[in-house]
Amino acid sequence: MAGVTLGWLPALSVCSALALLLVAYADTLARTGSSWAITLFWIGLLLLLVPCAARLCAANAARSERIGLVVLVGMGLYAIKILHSPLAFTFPDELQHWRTINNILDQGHLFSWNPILPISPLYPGLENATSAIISLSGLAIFPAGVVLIGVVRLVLMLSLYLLFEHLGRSPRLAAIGALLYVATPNFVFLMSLFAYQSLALPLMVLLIYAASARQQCADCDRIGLNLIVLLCAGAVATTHHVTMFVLLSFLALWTILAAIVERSRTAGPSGTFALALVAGLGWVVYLATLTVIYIGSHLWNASAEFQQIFAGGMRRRQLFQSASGSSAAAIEQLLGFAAVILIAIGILYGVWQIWLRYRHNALILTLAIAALAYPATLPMRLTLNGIAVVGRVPEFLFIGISFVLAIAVETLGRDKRLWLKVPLFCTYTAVIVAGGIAVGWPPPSSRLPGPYRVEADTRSIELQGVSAAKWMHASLQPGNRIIADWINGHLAAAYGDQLVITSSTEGLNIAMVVLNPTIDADVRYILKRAQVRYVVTDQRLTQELPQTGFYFDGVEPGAFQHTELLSHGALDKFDSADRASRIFDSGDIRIYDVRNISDDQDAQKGR
Amino acid sequence: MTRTHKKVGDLLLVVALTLAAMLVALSSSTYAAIYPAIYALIGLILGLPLALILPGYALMAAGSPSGAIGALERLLFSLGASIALSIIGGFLLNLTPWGLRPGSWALLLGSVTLLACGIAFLRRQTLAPSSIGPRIRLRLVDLVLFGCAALITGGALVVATTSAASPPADGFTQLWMLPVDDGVQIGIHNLEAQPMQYRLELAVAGQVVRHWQRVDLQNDGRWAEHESLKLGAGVNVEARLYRADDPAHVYRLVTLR
Repeated sequence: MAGVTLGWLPALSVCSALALLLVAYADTLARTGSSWAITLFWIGLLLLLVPCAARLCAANAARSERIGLVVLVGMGLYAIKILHSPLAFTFPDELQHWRTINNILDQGHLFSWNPILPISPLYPGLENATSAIISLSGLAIFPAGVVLIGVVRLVLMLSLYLLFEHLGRSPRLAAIGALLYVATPNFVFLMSLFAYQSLALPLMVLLIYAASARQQCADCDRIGLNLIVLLCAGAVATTHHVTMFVLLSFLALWTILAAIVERSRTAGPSGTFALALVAGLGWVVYLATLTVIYIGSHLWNASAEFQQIFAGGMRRRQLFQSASGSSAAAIEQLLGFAAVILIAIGILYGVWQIWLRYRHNALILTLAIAALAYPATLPMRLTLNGIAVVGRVPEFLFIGISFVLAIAVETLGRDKRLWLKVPLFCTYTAVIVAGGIAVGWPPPSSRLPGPYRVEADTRSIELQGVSAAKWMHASLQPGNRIIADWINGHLAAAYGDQLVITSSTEGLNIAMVVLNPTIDADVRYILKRAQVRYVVTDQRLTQELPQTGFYFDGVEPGAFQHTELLSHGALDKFDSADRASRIFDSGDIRIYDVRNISDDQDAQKGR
Repeated sequence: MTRTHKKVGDLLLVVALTLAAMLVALSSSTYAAIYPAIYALIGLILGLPLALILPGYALMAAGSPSGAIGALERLLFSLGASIALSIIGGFLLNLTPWGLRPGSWALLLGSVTLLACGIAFLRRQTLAPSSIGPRIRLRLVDLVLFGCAALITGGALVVATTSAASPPADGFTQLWMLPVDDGVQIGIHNLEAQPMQYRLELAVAGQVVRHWQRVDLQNDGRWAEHESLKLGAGVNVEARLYRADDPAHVYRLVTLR
């Protein structure tokens, strides 16, 4: 019996594997500080992407081959993140969720306090799924997390392909659309993190696909797809707040458009919208009311910052520049701008084609409107708070953008001149993917592993900090009230099981305790008010300005505007305090027992 | 070209795997300590499918029994539904006194899977056989190329893991001291990436009361000792660590006040 072959997929999988080998070697070189590492990284990335893009552009590839190539690219880009950190979670966001899952594994129940991400226990979907894997397979947290995020990456790529195929009725269009989705600025790293959005977004796309597909499936099969919609709506609502709000917005828009342009249809998306609305808002009202403050504060601050920029009273955020003032390479800046321009042109042409050919399809119109929202979010990148919000929006908008771009590419690709369209498509894809990485997260300094940098996310998480946190776990009681800088605080909370105090949870500017040059009345007051037991200092903080813009949090004095290095005197002041004990010393990291100062009855009066 | 058939073999396989995974998870607290390696391997082989695919597959078989849904779509829905079920199942388990534990997870996901398989079996009996799509034909050269890709990817992982696991060039030593009921507990942890030789002094109110002339530690070696002391209020206890190759300078210092 004859069957379909996989075409070029086996050969291109070897090519992709070689690309991963190059990236692994780039990571190795980067750890030694070699300047060749970044070049090798980009070569590996292009080797992974471009041959697959070229093949997907061909007209004669079979559906199974196209699906295989889409999965190959998606999983290959996920592997790049794994090769970056193959032994442990090394991004602060992952440590935040580590604390939540660790609490669940310890206690067997949900909703325990997480000092470094208080909202995480209220959205424990990621941790529930991880707990199931750990409990049934016996895997540790890290491999269980890697497996889970890998599986949902597969779900994402397949959902995108099938959604686009369902809408466009073309395997080629679907594959091109799914491939172009990887141009999302945060696809390689942020969307591969062990974090709640990495899980919620694929389930959201799956829900949209299932809701769309069930309109046309046989009656006897509809229960299954209804189950998918029901389960995914509940899962998204309890996994990630932003994804839930985006899903509700998307379904609301789809429902409205369906009512306008698809009046003849009976099974519209209104039922799905109602279900998601009940699940999402019910969860917020019943349990996660903190969400309103958490997201609202970001939006409010961004809006205020934007007004100040327009009024001329505030300097706008510099694009391609870290908070410490270091800029991305000129070529990366060029790629970033080129990507935005190419995407914008593609959106305009694609939306025009959609209007000509698909304007009676409500779901396609919804995707087109999502794509058109992309340019509107760009000005928000000029604000510090705005980037915290819109920096994570592209992965949602790109569901629409990638479909619209695929329509544009498919229309232009009807030209028979293959010799021309393949190189053009490959160049287009390479530029928007590379440009996406250039404008996305993490910044260039954290894209590859390397020597320690001050408050630079993954680059600050290394053996000395991890060992100190593990010492806390082994030698101190759990749950001590601790003050530590941003990175050491995450480590102490995750690996040390300590109760790290933050400004937002205490209503105190806790950074003053370490940043102040002396132990003055303010410092004593904070120590007493917050009932601090231990203070962690790290001598390396004096080496350079913090890459994230702050040492502790965004409300510390001088946050995002530090221009002077932190003084040794500020860190050493506890050595000269007669009531503080230095109980731990690993060279750079010191831990002080400040119980005697915190218990001081005069501290309140001194203020 | 398409073929038609009516099958239950897949359901039987799902039931068998589910029962085996439940058995392993429920007995792990008793036998895992006796046969840890075997249990770890079996748990991995059976536990991952029960967490990631079997419940979703069974639910889809029950909810969409006709076979009109393609293999790829079925795979996608099986994975998605299994993960979503785990997410929601966690809240149900949280309401029980047992919480989110291996046994309770196995019972929940296993029961849902078995129940759904039963429903799927019954629903399939009422439906006409359906067609399934053409199969993918794998050539020998394809298998060889996929094998090469897997080997190279494995090599990439080895390269990355080896470099990530190699100790940093600038190692360090931890020194710590904590008060205990009748004195202090002092510890050293060598993370210098090489064997080290230390000297340690313990001083009370400026007077050296204990001297460890030579503490040899291999890389990642630990040393800890309890020292009985009378710690009065305001007494300053100090532990000073010296490297044997630099005996004049205090390398690490901890204090209790």
